[in-house]
Amino acid sequence: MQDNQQNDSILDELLDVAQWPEVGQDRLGRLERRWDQLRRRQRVVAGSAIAALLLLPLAAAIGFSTLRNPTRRVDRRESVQVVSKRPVVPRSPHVSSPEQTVQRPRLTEAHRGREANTYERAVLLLHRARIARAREAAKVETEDPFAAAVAAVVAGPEEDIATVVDRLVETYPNCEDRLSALVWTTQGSKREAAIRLLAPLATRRSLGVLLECSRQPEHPLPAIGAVARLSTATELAALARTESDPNLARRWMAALARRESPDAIRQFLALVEDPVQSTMAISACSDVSWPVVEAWFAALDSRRVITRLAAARALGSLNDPRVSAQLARLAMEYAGRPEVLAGLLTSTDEVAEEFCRFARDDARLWPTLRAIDLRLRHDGELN
Amino acid sequence: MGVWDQRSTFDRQLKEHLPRALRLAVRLTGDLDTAEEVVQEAMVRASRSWKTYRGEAPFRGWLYRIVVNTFRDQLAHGPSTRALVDEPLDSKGRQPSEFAMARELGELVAAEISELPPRQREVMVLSAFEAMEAGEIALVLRISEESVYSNLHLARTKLRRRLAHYLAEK
Repeated sequence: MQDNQQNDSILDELLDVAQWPEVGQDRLGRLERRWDQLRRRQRVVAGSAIAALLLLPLAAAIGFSTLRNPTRRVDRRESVQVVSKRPVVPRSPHVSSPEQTVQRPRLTEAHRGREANTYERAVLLLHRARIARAREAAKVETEDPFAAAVAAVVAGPEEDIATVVDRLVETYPNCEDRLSALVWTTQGSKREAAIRLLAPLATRRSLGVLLECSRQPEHPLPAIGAVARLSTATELAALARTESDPNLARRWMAALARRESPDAIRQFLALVEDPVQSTMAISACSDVSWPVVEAWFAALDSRRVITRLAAARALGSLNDPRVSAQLARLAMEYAGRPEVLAGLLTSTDEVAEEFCRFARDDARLWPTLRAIDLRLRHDGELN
Repeated sequence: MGVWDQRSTFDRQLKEHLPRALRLAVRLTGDLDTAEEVVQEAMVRASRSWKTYRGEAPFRGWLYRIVVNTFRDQLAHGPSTRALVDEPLDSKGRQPSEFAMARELGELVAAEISELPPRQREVMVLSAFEAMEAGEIALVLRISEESVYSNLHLARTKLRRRLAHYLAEK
């Protein structure tokens, strides 16, 4: 009973130190922006619904007046008609043809000396509204802010890309879709500019287009960065395994190695374990953060030998004296754990080299070191 | 209060509670990326049903309920979340005190909590880390208070067993 109570209090102490990954400001900022987008979209939808409600009585009035006066329905057919037609010109090679102008059907407000009825006025208004919308669309086309943004990026570094992107996001909630469309429809430098604009704001919706772009040699970098940011660890590992271009495969592996999530750590170590991917995965270990290094150190205690060896080789490939010092400490404490020695043997920094020199003269470490050395040389991982 | 005032008040409250909601999701999923996805989906749901929030109950509980429901749906439809440690603690490796020195103990405990069965995990996180009373937890999870207590007991028993090595060490 007393033991249970004591265990309870110790468990509470352990719970107090529980530590999950820190929530970064960038994630919060991204979520806040997403919330703003959602709300803007809702306002647009609500506005459209109100406009539809306002137009409903007008439509009902028109329908009602038409139903009440059937004679006018006959007039309507007479009054809405083509008032001028293309002139009929005899086609003869000997007779010069007058200029053929196509005149569109024109609606009039008055016909045969009487005022247009309600229905005719409504048709006329609809026609004018359609023309106005077409003119507006043409105007928007010529002043397309996305095309202007792309042109600005193509022109040169007058304005920071982040500033241009921020302005687009604030003004146009659906700018991601517009930029995706631009990536598909443009070519050359314009396409590259569209990718550079799309990359920082892209969500998983644009993953397909970005992946496609990353495989094209002329503009891979921003697209690769965005794909690396948006893909899950499992997807990155799958990309690395299936990519035929070794440079691109190495980039996916490097992106995976830099991730701090437990899933990414596991996936990356699985790549190092894989004999086919191992060499490339090891060469992709650079610029990893310290939490990743700590996770690799934790993997040295895995129950699977192959995982322990993969973690040690990944640590050794960093060629970092701080890492080698910690590996050396582990090797000394546990009398030459083979995987730790493998990590030290593959490392080329001065601490690792000094430790290996020391271990060759140490009777306790030398046999294991020699065995590991032979095995690594046999596997071609050590020259 | 007009609709627009209500809307802006709601927006303000949601943004204020966003860090807490994300932290809750991280604790439930054990992973930042998955947690962000959960909160994004929860925001979509909140934006659809914001009018159902009448301001009578605490906003935190209302938002947490949506986050927890989204988390459950994701568990039901998506791949299961994985925590930092996918194996039980290995007594053959380094000693617990070394883990603590390496600042890993906190992460290990967190990973063990995030590996609990979903219901026990929800109750444990809301109780131990969000400092919610059993009644509040019951409202958020829509279960009885008795169920809250029994799940909490099961969660603590399981954690005690999985962290036995450390309990003994301390």
